[in-house]
Amino acid sequence: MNDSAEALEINGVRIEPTFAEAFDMKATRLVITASDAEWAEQAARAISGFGTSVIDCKLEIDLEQRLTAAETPDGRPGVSVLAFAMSADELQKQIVRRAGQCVLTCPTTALFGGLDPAVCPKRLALGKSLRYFGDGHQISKLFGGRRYWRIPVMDGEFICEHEVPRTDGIGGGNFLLIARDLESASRAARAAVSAIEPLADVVLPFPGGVTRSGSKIGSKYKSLVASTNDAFCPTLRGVTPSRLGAADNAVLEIVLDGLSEAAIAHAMRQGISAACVCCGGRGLHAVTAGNYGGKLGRHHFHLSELMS
Amino acid sequence: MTRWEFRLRRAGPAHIDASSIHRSQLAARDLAQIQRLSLIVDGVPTELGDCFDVRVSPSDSEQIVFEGPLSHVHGLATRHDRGEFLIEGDVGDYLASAATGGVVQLSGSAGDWVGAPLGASRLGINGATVSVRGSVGRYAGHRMRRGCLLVDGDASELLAALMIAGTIAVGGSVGRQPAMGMRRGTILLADADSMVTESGGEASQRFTEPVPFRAGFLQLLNDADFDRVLRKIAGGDELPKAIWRVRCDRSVGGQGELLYPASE
Repeated sequence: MNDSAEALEINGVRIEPTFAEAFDMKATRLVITASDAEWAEQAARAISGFGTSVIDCKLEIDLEQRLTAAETPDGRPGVSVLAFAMSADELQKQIVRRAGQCVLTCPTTALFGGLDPAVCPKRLALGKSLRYFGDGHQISKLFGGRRYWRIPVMDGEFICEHEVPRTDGIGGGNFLLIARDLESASRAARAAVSAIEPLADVVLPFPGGVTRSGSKIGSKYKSLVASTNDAFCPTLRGVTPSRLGAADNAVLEIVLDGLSEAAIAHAMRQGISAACVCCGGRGLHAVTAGNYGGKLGRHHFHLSELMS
Repeated sequence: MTRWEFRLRRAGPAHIDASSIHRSQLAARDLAQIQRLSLIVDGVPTELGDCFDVRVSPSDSEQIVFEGPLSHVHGLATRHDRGEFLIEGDVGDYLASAATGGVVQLSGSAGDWVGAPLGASRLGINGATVSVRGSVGRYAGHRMRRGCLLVDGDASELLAALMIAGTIAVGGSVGRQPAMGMRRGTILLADADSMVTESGGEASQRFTEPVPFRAGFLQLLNDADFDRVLRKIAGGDELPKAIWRVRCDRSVGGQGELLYPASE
C-alpha cells in the first residue's frame, strides 16, 4: 500500500511514498558481563543465534550495545542484548532456554536485567528458573532490593538476577534497498547497518542486520505462514506482479525491532540516510518499505514523514 | 514523612528496655502520646518522656534518631522495618533485634546479641541492613535470616551462631567460634586464616579446606557502608582481590561461607 504523498529523492535515490508496518511485541534487555569483553561477546553471540525471526525462531534477539565496566552492574565489561517475542509467555520460555544454554555455559559470565525496574514493573523469571542447575548448592543474595542467584559452576560461580524487567516492544520496522546489482545493494545495506548499530533501544536481528529473504504473508502451501516476497524478487519479474523496475536487479531488507516507536523511527532515518549518502548515484535506485495494507500492525512508519 | 529525635536525659545506671519503640507506634501518635509510651526501666514501667527528650519534625525520609550515652539502653531498633534508625554513641544489648527492613546505623559500639531473635522466635535479622561503626559483643547475627550486618570494628565470641542466611562483614578481629552451627549465609572477615586452618582440632570438623575464590557478587552490593567495611577487611584502599573461601559449619551439614582475604 502506497501513501498519497509524492516520492522524495535523497542524493538521487527515490524514497517511495509508502510505510513500514510494525507490530507490538514483548521485549526485554539483558546485560551479559564477563571477565573480559571477549567472553561477554561470545555469550551474546551464542544467545543471539537462531534469533532472526519469530516466524520460526520464536524470538528475535541481537546484540544491542557493548558496555564498559562502568556501565554494568558488577563492574566488568559486558554487552546488552534486546529480545523480542510475540507473547510474554514465549519470551519467558525462550529467554530461560537461551540463558541456560548460551550464557550459563560461557566461561566467567554473569547475567542481569537491563531495563529499569521502576519503569518496567512486569517481570520475567531468570535466575528463579536457572538456579536449580545449582542442585541445592545455589546461594541467593538480596542486595538493594534485587535478588541474585549464585550458581556454582566449574570456573567459580554464575551470577544471575532472579527476575528481570520486561516491557512492550515493537517488531518489524523495516526498509528495503532496491539497487542496480547485488554489490550496490550490499554496500548500501552495510552503510545503513553501520549507522544503526551504535544506536540504543533498537536491534537488527538478521545476519549482519540484513535479510535477502523478505517475506509476504501466506503461501500456496497451507503449512507455511510466510513465503518469499515475490513482488521484490528480480528473478520473478514478468512471472508475478512485480514492484521492481527494469533496472532493479537486487533488493536487500533491513528489519528493526525496538523498544519504542521513536527508537525505530530514528534508526530508520539514520539507516536510510546513510544508505542514500553512500550509494546514491552508485547503484542504489530506491528505498521502499514492507507493509500488509495496515492490517497486521498498528505502528506505521511513513518513509515520506521520516525523511522529510 | 517524619523525623523522631530522642535524647537521653540522664545517663545510667538504670537499664532501659527500648524494644517497644517502633516506627509504626510512633507514626500513629502525636508528641504527647509518644511521651506517654511505656518503657521498662530497671524492671519498672516508666513513661518515655521521663527518660528521653523527644522532638518530632517533618523530614524527607522516615528517621528515628537516638542521641546520648546509650550504653544502658537495650533493644533499640527492635523489629525495625522501614526507613532509617540512626543512633549516636554506644548502645546496650539487643540492637536491631529481629529487624526486618530499612537501615539501622550506629556510630559507636553495641553490646551482645546484635540482631538476635526476639523472645522465643527462631529468626534474628530478617531483612534490614545494620551498620555498626564500632564493635559488637557476643552472639552478633545470631540466627540471622536475611539482610546485612556490617561491623567496622571487632566482633566478640560466637559471631553468626546458627546463622540461616544473609551477609555479615566484620572489619576488625573476631572472637572465639564464629559461624557455630551456621547453616547458610556469608561472613566476610579480615583474618580467619589461623582459625580455619587449625589442624586436627574442632576447626577441621567445622570448616572445609580454604579454596581461592572470585567473589564477583560483592560488586553488586552498591552500598557505602559495605564498601567501607570491605576496604577495611582488605586492609587498604582497594577491595580484596584474592579471597579464600571455606564452607561452614560442616559439623551440622551447613553450607554457609566464610570469606577472607588471602594473605601475601
